[in-house]
Amino acid sequence: MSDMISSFFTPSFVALVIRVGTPLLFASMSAYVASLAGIPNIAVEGIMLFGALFGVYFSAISGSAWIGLLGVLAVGVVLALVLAFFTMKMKADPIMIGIALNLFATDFSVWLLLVWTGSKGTTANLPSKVLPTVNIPFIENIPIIGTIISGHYFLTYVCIVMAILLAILVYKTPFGLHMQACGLDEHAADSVGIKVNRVRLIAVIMSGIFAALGGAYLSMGYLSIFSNNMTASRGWIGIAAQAVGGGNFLIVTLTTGVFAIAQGIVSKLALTSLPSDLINTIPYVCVLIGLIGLSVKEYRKRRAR
Amino acid sequence: MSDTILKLEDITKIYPNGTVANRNINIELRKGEIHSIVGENGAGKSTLMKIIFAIEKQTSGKIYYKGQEINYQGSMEAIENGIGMVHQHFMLIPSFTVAQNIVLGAEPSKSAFIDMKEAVRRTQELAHKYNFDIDVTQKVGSLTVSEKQKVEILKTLYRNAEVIILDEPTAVLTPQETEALFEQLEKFKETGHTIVFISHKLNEVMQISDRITVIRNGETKGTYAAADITMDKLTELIIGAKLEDSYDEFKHPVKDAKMLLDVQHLKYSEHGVGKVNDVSFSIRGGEILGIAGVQGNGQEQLIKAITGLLPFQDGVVKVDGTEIQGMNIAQKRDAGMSYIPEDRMVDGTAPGASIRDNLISTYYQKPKYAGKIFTKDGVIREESKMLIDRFSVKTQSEKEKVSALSGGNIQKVVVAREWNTQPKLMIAEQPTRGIDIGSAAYIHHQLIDMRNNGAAVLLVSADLNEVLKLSDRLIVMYEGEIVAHFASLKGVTESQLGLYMLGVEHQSEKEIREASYDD
Amino acid sequence: MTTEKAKKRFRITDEGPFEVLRILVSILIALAVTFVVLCFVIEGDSIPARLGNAGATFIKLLTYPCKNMFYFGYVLVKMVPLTFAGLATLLYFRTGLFNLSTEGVFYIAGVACTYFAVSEARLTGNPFIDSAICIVAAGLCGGIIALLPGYLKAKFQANEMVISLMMNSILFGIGFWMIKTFLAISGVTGTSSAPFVASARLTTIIPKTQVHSGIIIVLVMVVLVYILLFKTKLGYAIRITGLNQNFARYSGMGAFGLFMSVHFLAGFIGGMGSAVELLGVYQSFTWSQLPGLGFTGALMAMLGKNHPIGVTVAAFGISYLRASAQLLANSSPVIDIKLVSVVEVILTLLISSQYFLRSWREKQLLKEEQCNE
Repeated sequence: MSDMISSFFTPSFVALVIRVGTPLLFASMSAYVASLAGIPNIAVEGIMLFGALFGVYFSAISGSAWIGLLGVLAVGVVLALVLAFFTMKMKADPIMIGIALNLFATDFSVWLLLVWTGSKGTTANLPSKVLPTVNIPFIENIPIIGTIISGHYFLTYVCIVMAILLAILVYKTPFGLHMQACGLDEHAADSVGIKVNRVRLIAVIMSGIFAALGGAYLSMGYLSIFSNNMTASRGWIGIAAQAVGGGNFLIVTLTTGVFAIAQGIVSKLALTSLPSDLINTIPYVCVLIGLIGLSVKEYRKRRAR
Repeated sequence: MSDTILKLEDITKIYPNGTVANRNINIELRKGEIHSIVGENGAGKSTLMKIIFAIEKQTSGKIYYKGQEINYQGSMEAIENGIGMVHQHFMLIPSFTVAQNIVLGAEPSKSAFIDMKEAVRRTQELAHKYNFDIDVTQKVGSLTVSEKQKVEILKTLYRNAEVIILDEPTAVLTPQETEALFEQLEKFKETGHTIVFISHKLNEVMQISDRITVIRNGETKGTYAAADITMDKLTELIIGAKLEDSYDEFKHPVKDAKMLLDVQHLKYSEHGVGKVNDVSFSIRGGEILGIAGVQGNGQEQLIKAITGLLPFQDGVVKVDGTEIQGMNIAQKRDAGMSYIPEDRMVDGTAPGASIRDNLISTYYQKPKYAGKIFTKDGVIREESKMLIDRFSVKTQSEKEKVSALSGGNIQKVVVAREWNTQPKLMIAEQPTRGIDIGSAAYIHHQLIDMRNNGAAVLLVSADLNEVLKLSDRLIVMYEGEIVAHFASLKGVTESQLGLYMLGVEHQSEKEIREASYDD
Repeated sequence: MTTEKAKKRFRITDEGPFEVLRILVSILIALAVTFVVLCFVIEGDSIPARLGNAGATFIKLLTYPCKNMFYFGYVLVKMVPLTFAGLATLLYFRTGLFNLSTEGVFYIAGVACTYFAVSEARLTGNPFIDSAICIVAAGLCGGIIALLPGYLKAKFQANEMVISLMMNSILFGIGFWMIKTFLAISGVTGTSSAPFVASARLTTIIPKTQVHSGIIIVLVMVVLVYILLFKTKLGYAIRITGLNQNFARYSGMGAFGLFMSVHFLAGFIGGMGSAVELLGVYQSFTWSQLPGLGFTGALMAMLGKNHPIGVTVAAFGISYLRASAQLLANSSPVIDIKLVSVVEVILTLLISSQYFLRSWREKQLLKEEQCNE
């Protein structure tokens, strides 16, 4: 047991957290950017699933992982447009649309799997490609630091770069300010001439792309196949991280980090004799406790007034 | 000084539902003047401002700005051309800083990024230039109301507004803050800005304006230089000289009436600001007590604290001798209270539910209408039909949705429901606001019937005519206090009331104490 | 009065008929899209051949369950859990709550049901009583579990949607662990429970079909939920609160008790549904994933306009296609129950769109007015 605990303080554990945390951060960014602009996207899970499936499919039929990645981006954008069109132009409830897209993704991905491979389980018999692993020259040879920051999947670095770019976009550019304004008070935004629908459309498209990339990470790196329901509620964790952090990207990221560590611990504990099904609930229990704590705090704040 | 900057010519606005908000309005604004537009609630001031600011489009008539006819497609165009507006409800984002709020939509930028330093510098400079003592790096949420208003004004100045419209700016300010605002406005005059000041507080209007335009029932009643007109004359123009007939002939005296409502030392404050300051009054059965006052002087908080829509803070409220201030809403209703709320669509009905369902919500638990578990549908249906019939709600069936009814009929549904519990105390808040004259008269007669049958009625209305016609006694509220009490309305004139409502006069402590009965 | 009534003719632009029209158009579009999807994947050498094949398959999909009683019975079997989940979710939606915990409740309550159903020692041997014990146990389990998000919502106004989603994953983990650890056949490691005792299982009520007595239970529940919503004090409070919470407060209705009752009832119905599904269709507990029924229940509630009868109709319609697709799965490589998700998603998108066909309706209304003048 003490071996187990000490293994949590090793560079390889940090690297593991980064590996399992990448799809979670994609999911959190997806939930965050949409909700920041005022259109909650709870279809993150479904878009991830489709991203994972189409990445495999497009790379298999084209023979190129990069073309597969382009396909993933297209899928993310299309699903985002569906969400945007129905919520903004057709005045549908974004929650209902989200639930519908999630269910659709769960079922339809299995059907596509069946049509493409003849099996409902995995795409193991499709010649899909994976995105490369990136070894950073020089750094990879430095002990500890090399283990931690070099040798990850390509999309991990994309994720980190995108997180930084997103933070800059939100906090340092006019468009970021406009997104925040649209989410906080669309009338106020409108009254100073901000085109609310356009801002929201762009935000939702970004959200779709993040989620789809999160899915592609799972099937084109982390694993090299798509398997039935492979996102395993990672999208919901992103939504929960958004719920905890609200409009504050730093808190959303840190919360995601906590969930990633929980997930990393789960991966480690899975190797022990402890019941894996219970271990698997640890990240969700963390989220639940976080959410409850948050609402109790806000309740106290309201009462104090 | 006297060149015209903005001119409204025969502006008429008719809404699709037929409401005429403005009729042939003519106003001329001169560059560098403070021009007040005064009138009662619902007189059409706000609509007119929305037309100038291009939020609404006039049905007919022309607007000239700097000598040219304008036809803006949206408020953005108005802003770009130098017309700014400070809305009554602030368009500010609390979690943004002052500087962010001011520059939002027109941010200074360095290549692709917001130049926040420049934004802070420019806004701070702007604030200094106009003597606004405000730290622009603060979050707007932590500002006081008057500071928020300053931010709104700075927003218009940042966009180089030449004409600034202020919609009821003093409604949310303390007298000291109002003074400061006025000093500010005087400065704008010097810098060549034109100020449109919308208000119904007459003493303020008299103090600040160069010229005053009065609007009544959507029509202009003339523009006057402030120096040339007296307060009495202005009051008369605003309220209208002619009082409609009173309902005295329908009222019967009620014998041996008990005191049914007694409010003592009621206080209510929001964020540390006193909204209701030590208010005491009482009502006997068979009496209608009216509360007159310009909106926003604590009437709303007074009523909501009594009825339970706002949490109770301090004081004693007795209904027929029972203290009710600690009770929840259901218990208060059981104690004999009924309540026609100010906003029929927010609190008064569930518009998506049937008329039937809306007619029973406050008493469906009573044994007559429901057993332990089940509702008695037959009884409820008969009762609904009876109420629809008795209150002549125009509808095909009790199953129709409330949202399909007209405003007047919706209000009748509310009144019918509140009437049906045979309350000891009926609290009527703006009972006829925005409804047709026929329905309004009908509702008035229902209130008088309740009074004649021994109920105590507390009436709050922004419509002075309504208060004067219905009330047996009257109190006037100003800034959270009772400033006048009239035990009888005989000989009370509207301009006399106007002076109390506008805070010009104040009765003695002793006179005001008579609003409460001793028994 | 009578003259006025006589004037009122049937008009497609009236609220009721227009709603029906909207639903019909949505169904048509959903089916058309399904047809197009089929055209893309179906085998065939030329375009006409593909169209022909797709058409034949499509018509089969629409008519197959009507072929014989067994197939039709299969529709009814599929409909039972969807209706239960829809009823549970509609109670939340009617109260204005976005709670999706029915998914997790289905799972954990199924475990509670299994706890009783696998052991003769916990049962009496009487089929009626044994089924009842399992179903009530599952219901109570579901109801009590649902009280947690209910309390958090009622007391702290917590975000019930995200909390319920997290609970789903947690309940699944705990439930699956319990099945494997305590309820499996001793000595065997596997992902299913020990077989259910025969007396606990629901009996087949129509010979030569799989239709079990659960269909009766669910229809009774539909009636009970209808009565609850439209004939009781609680139902009245649910409807009013869901439509306008301010009005409910003004009228003196307390939110705390109401929220707790609704959560318990919805959890109970979800739990019952789980037990009925397990005891009617399965030999043992074999769910190694969340069954997806809770989320589908949310769709049923939406498609059925939060009305118990509507939910039943929606559940029947979706089950009809699902059953048909499943029955045809062996005859065609591209037909599978999962294909029905195309119909489901398009129906949901269109029916939840407030503006769908709205401009058409407004044009019609305008025309009518011009005619009147």
